[in-house]
Order: sequence, then structure tokens, then C-alpha cells
Amino acid sequence: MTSSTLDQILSELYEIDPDLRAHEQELLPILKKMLAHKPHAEPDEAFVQKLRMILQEKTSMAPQRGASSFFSFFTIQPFNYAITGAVLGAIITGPLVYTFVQNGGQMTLPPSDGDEQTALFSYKVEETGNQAFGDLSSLPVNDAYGRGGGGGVGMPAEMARPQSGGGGGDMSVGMDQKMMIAPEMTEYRLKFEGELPALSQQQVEILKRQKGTSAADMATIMRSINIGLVDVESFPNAKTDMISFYQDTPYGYMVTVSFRDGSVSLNANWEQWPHPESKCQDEACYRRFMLSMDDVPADADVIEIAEKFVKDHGIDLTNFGPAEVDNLWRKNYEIATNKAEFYVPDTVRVVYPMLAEGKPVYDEGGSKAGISIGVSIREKKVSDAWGMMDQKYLKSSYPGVTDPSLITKYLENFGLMPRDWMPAGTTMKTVDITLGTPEMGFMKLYTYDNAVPEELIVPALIFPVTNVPAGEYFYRNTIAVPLAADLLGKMNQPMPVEPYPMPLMMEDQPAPVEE
Amino acid sequence: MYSPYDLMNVPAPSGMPTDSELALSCINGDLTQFDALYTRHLKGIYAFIFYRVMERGTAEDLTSQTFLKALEHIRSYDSKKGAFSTWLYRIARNTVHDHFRTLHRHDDIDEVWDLPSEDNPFLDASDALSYAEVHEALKTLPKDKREIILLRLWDGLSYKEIAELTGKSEASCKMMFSRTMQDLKTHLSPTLLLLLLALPYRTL
Repeated sequence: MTSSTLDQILSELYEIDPDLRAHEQELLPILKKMLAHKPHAEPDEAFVQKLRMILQEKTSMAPQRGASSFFSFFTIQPFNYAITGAVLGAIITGPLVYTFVQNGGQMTLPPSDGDEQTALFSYKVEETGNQAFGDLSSLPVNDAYGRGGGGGVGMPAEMARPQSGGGGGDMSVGMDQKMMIAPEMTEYRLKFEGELPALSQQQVEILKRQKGTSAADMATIMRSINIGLVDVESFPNAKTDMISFYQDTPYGYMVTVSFRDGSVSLNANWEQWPHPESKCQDEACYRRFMLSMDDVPADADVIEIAEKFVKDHGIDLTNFGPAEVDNLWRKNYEIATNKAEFYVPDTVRVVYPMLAEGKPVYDEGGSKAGISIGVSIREKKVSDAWGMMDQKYLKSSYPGVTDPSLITKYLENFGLMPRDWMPAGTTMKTVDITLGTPEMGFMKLYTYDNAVPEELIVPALIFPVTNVPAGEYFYRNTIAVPLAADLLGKMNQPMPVEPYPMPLMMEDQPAPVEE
Repeated sequence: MYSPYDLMNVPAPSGMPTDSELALSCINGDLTQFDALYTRHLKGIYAFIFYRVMERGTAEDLTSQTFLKALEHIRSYDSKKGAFSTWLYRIARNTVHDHFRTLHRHDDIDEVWDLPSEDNPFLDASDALSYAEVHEALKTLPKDKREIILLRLWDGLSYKEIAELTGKSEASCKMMFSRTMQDLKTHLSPTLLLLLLALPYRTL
């Protein structure tokens, strides 16, 4: 509640009865008290999603257009939430059969009876027992973004090997650049001097994304297609892995639906998009097509392009927040010493942040996870989109982090480099990164049990990065700390000691001198 | 916590269709547009109901009923007669009234205010004392005055919306709110007033 709200109410009152102005000192505390002690009335996110699902099912099952019985579908009276929910839940989870037919050489989804179509990929959370995903402390988690992370170890852009992706800018090479030398490394010390919120959750609820649950039966899909070279029906119990289709028209796309992964992604159909710079044979030509910062559209324009694309292609934004432009790449520009030579990316990314219980979900790199849409700066069109996923989850309870020392330990060790396996002669520079007051959110973690990546959505404390020393590069905006005790315990374990990869040699340079 | 002033008058995001346009699309057969209406108004409707039933499970049940009724009867919405939000809040209001009528526990919504304030287990412990004071203050008011206070201060409705919802004129609603504030100021028990004045305010 803001003071302007109070002012508004008071001014309305005075307008009605000017005499009340003389009693402002009496009215103000009453109004403040009334407003401040309004009961907390935020709906539970699980309820929000459940009701949304029920409504969506009702709308999707109703005849959509032109049917005479348009509204006769809605006949549940008197309303019984539990029964309706159960019935509709059964409809949602019931067996789904999808049939593709051959139509003039094109594969199309046939209209189902009454134009009804139930979404194959959708949002659903199914409760399971406690600790249903096994022992989290034994799960291999992706540690690549964890300790030691932050700025990474890279080379100044002008020194990087072309195939190294441009480098990060933290490893400087001194003395004779033709020699392979021990690097100067940078480590990041996280400074959090605030107070942690009360850690009162004995149990936290973790979501695990279910993959492959919507895999369509291959034979059903392929039955009507005579491939000729092989009898597809000779492979019993086969599931469809992937379907790709493309537009063979200017600025067309290639779309891939992965049933196994439960995801949809799309990319520009390369052949159908202009790439004049790819025909360049000399430096002058390349420079002519180099993008400059002036070419980068304003964020609002980028979002407008993405929004139109989302609308035009019916991308489902259920459980995703409003579009945000990912401007992390601009940090590189800010610290670049030679801005004229700075490589401006071809695409700017727009993210629709994934939400859990209404709060954003962060990936392991501290960025908001979600649907990512690339907008081509040259063409002012969407060039790719990914992160559209089947959102079927299992939910299970695990012990929560109640000991704040686990969090401080994680932060303390987060960006520091273990010294014991550094190459001889390495010099270490320590950069202090300041963190602000954390907020509750969620973190998307990947585990690699059985070599298959699994996605967990875990309640987490999200620490914003509030200060990075001038001239330093730290690629994160936030640090996410999972609040599941077993997971955090696992991440607090010492990193396995392994040889630090030797620095790459520059092309066309002599081999290192043996000492 | 979100401001009560964003509950009912949820503006259409830039470039997005208005409530009336979405409702019209639904009426014309594109029911998928109902999801946007749901997203915009869920919090407001839930809060509106919660303030009146003071119980989470019941609030969820009645909120569900409200949106299902709205979906079922979307054809009866006429944008010429008022805002979609007002139409939706009216459904919510009637649903709450029906709930109390059906329950027999209370003949009228008014009686929920006669429950001792400590009978509200939904409240956080830290909120209980403060809420009890506010509850006591509201309890002293007649039903129609209490409603207008809730609609204006907690639900954050404008006088125009309150007028449309309650069937009173806007001027009458303004006058009633003003008089109710006078009542609270002049007729509040001295003890309660002192209590209100003495307790620290939350950040406003």
C-alpha cells in the first residue's frame, strides 16, 4: 500500500465532506490500520493451476465455433468442486490417442470429433509420496555452474581462438604471448552481509518433470504412411521419438517436436533466410555486415516482435511470466576496452520466465529459466525459440534446509577456486561480488542419474548480485541456493580433485618451451 | 502483497485485448480467451470472497464456482451494461450469498462477523491480534456500511464500481463511505481508538 493510495482515499473523502479535512489526524490511523490489517488473501498456486486446468478443459471440450449447442456443454449443476475436479482430472489423464494422416503428401493432425483437441503437452502436477525421487544427496548434479563459477576463465576476446566462442575476458596472458604460460586466474568471493530469512520449512516440495509420458504410439502415427523402404509396423511397441517439419518458403522455420523429451523447439530454416554476410570473401565485406550497437533494437521493440510471434503461433504461456529481454551480453560490451571491435550478437533473446507458485524459476546459471525466443537483429524477426516443454510434474516432499550455516558455507565457497590442483605459477586474483537480500523463488536443477538428464524444480533462495567492481565481468545476475537439505549438502561437498585443463595454444604459435 | 487497487481494475497489458474484447471473443465462440480473463481477475475475486468467508477452503470452492458460472453464462454479459469486472464481482457476491443461505449455519453473510475473531484459524499468529482489532471495529458497523468499507478499502473498488455492484448510485456510495468513516471516528470505543492509534503501523 502506498501513501498515494491513502492520499487518494483521503482526497475523495474531503471532496465529499470538506469538514473531514479537519479530522485528518484521526482518520489517517484508522485508514492505515484498515488497509494494513487486511487479511492476507493470496490464492494458493496449486489451486490457481488446478482451477485453470478445469476451466481450460471445459473450454477445450466445448464446441468452439458455430455449433448450435455451443453453451449446452456446461451442465454441471449444482457445482461440486471435488467431483468436477476428479472427473475432469480423469479426462486429462486418460489415454490419449493421436492420429496423423497422410494428406496430399503432408502430415497433418486430423480434426478430432467435434473439432475437439486435447493438448498433448500440458501442465499437470501429480502428488507422490515423500522422497519419491530417491536420495537427492546421491544424485549427480550439474556442478559446472557451481563453485568456481561466475566469471569463468577465458581469454580476452581479441586473443581467443575462433572456435572457443569468444572467451570470457578474465584470463590475461602476460609476457611473451607466443609462449604457453601459466594463467592469471580470477575467482569470485561472494559477500553477503545481510540477514538470511527464517528457514522454517522442515519439508520442501520438489517437482520433477516427467518426460516421455506423452510419447505417441509410432505405429498409430505411421500406419497410413507407406514409406516403401521398410515396414514400420514390423517394429512392435515402438514410440515416436521426434517429428520435424519445415516451411520451404522465405523466412520459413523448422519445427521439432520431441516426444521423448516432451519439448518443442524451432529454428529458422537456414536455406530460406538471407545470409549475405556468409558470401563475404574479404575483411572489408565482413566489416560491412558487422552489426553495431546502433543496430540493436530497443527492448520494447524486441518484445513486440516476440509477442507477435507468440500470438501468431499460439505458444502456450501457461505458467510463464511476462517477456523480458536478456541483456546479459551487454555486460561484455560495458567492460570491453575496444568497443569498436565488440562483437554484437546477431540475435537478442527474449525470455518468458517460468513460474512455480507464481515465483520465477532460475536456472543453475542464475538466469531466469523459461521459454527463450531469439530475435534476429538483422531481420527483425524471430529466428528461434526453445524451452516450450511438456509441464507434467511429480511432486514430492524432502527435508528442507533449516540450518543457515549450510547456505553461508555454499556462498563462501561458491566462486572460489581450489588451489591444490592449479598449474604451477598460477596467480589468483580475487574479486568481491556483493549480494543483496535474497527472495524466495525456485531453481531448476539438472541431475544425471543413469546418464539421462532429469529436471528438478526446487524451492530456493535467490540472492541478487548488487555490485560487481568496475571493469570486472561476472556473468550472473543472481545466485540461487536450493533449499532442499540433501541437495545443498551434496553441493557443499568438496569438488573432486581433477587436473585443471591446460590452457589452449594459440594458433600458429610455437610449442611451449620445456623448462 | 499486491495493492487492493489492482484487483478489480486490472488494466489490459499494453497491446493486449481489453476485458470486453476478450469477453466478446468468448461470446463469439473463442473460449480460449477466457483464460486471459481468469488470469486477470483470479486474485481479485479470490480476495473478494476470502474477505467475506474468512476460510481458505471455502474461498477456493466459491472462487471455482464463480469462474465456472462466469464461463457458463458468458453469453449473458453485456458490455453496454457495465464492465466485465463488475459483472464478475456480482457473480462472486451472489455466490457468497448463496453459500451462506445454503449453509444454514448462518442465515445471512452478516453473521459471519458475529463469529469471535479468534475463530479464524487462517490467520497467521502475528496477524491475529491486529486483525482482531480491525474485526472488532468492523463488527460495530451496520451491514451496508461494513460492506462499503470492505469494497473500498480491501477490495479496492472505485465508487463507480461499487455503485454498479451494489445497485446504488455513485453519489450515495460516496456519501455512505464518508459517513461510515465519520462513524468510525466518532463512535469507535475510546479504548479501541486508542489501540488503533497506539499500535505501530505496517509499512504502507
